[in-house]
Amino acid sequence: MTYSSQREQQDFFARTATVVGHLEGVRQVANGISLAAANAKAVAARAGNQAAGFVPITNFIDEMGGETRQLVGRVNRDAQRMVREVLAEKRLGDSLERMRRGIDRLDERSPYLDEIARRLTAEHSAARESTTRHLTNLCDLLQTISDHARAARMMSTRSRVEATIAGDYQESLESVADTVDHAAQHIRDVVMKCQSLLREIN
Amino acid sequence: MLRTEIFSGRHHWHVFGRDPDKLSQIIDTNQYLVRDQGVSFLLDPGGIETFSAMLPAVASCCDISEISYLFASHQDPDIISSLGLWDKTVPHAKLYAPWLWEGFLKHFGCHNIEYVGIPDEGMTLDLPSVKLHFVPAHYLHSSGNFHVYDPVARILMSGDIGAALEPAGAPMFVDDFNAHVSRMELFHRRWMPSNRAKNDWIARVRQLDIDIMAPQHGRLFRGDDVKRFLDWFEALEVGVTAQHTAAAAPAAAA
Repeated sequence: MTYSSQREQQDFFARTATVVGHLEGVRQVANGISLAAANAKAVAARAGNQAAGFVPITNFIDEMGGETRQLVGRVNRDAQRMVREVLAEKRLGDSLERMRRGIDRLDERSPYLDEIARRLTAEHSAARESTTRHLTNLCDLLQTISDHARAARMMSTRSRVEATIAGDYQESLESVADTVDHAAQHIRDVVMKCQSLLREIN
Repeated sequence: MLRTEIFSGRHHWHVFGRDPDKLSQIIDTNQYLVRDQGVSFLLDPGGIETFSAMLPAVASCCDISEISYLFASHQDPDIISSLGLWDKTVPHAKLYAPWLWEGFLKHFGCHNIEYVGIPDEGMTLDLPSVKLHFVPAHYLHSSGNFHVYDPVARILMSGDIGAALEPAGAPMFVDDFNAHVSRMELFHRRWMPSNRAKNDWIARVRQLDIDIMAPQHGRLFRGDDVKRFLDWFEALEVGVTAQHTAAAAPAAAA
């Protein structure tokens, strides 16, 4: 990853911070999915054999909600770490620039300062590489969340089918399916936004 | 960055300032270096914006690697916001600064340099040929604040006391004290919060043998001008005044 301008680096920081903000909302939605799954389990238990086919679906959705929350937690932590590292990289870059400006104005070369500048350059490069690695990792995690949300949408479609044979419990189970479907769609929309923000940086 | 040697003996004092390339929006500052037989001590090394100019200026009078000590009189950014850069440049050095400000100064970046907190009553630092004294100057203006006294050179580095706001290119020393008063008065009335702290400091400093009083902004005082300054400062009413509090108070209801 390279920055052609200070503005680009500031943009990077702003985008990363925005991703962190968006994903906080996703965590809350993932909580909603787990709650819907818990409701569905309760309804399915009351429905008994009428909703037998619903039970494995609710288990899956409950598990998926939990996994999504964990993934979002990891993404948030990684994104916040990356924001810190971007800032550290910026500070190192600023330090290097000021050091070089001072060194350029020396009357005589200073091997001591040359060595300091060399070490600072190495630190700066290492920081930049670390940021790139974090970014790649972040993108991978976001894709995993998106895949989970797609699977949830498929499951909610299947659960609607199961709900049609649940008799008196059809409406309740369809409502659960709708909740899961909307939540999963929302998660996918947010993840796509985050992926788009990060893709422009990478 | 201009360098002026203000004392030469077994050890030397240098002042750096009057940078012609200084950004216009930042306050001008004086930085000091004491060099004593291969050991150098940088006092109030300056803000981050002055670092690039300070580095070659300091390198012109000593090897950068021999800077073993830094000093920060207090926490202001124009004094020490370059700490993160010096931290990388002289990672082996020690920073002497008020104990009160340690957690604050480290926000500028201090991962390598050792922070030595100066206790409220002050302390000394032994260089090869001179023992320097960190003299308490609390609440003038900062609540944790020290000056540096050299009994051999008879120099008191006085931080913000004696400061004057001047245009670029001002001379290094006061040459007409009466004319200089107008450059100092506003600064001292507004920045120094306590007459009691002021008088306490004056009593302490009058006991010292001072040939040069070296502030962090503006011209240095030498010879009889040191006494003239102390007399002037003693008579000056500083700090929170009725005029200030009346201006800040909301208008009373009719």
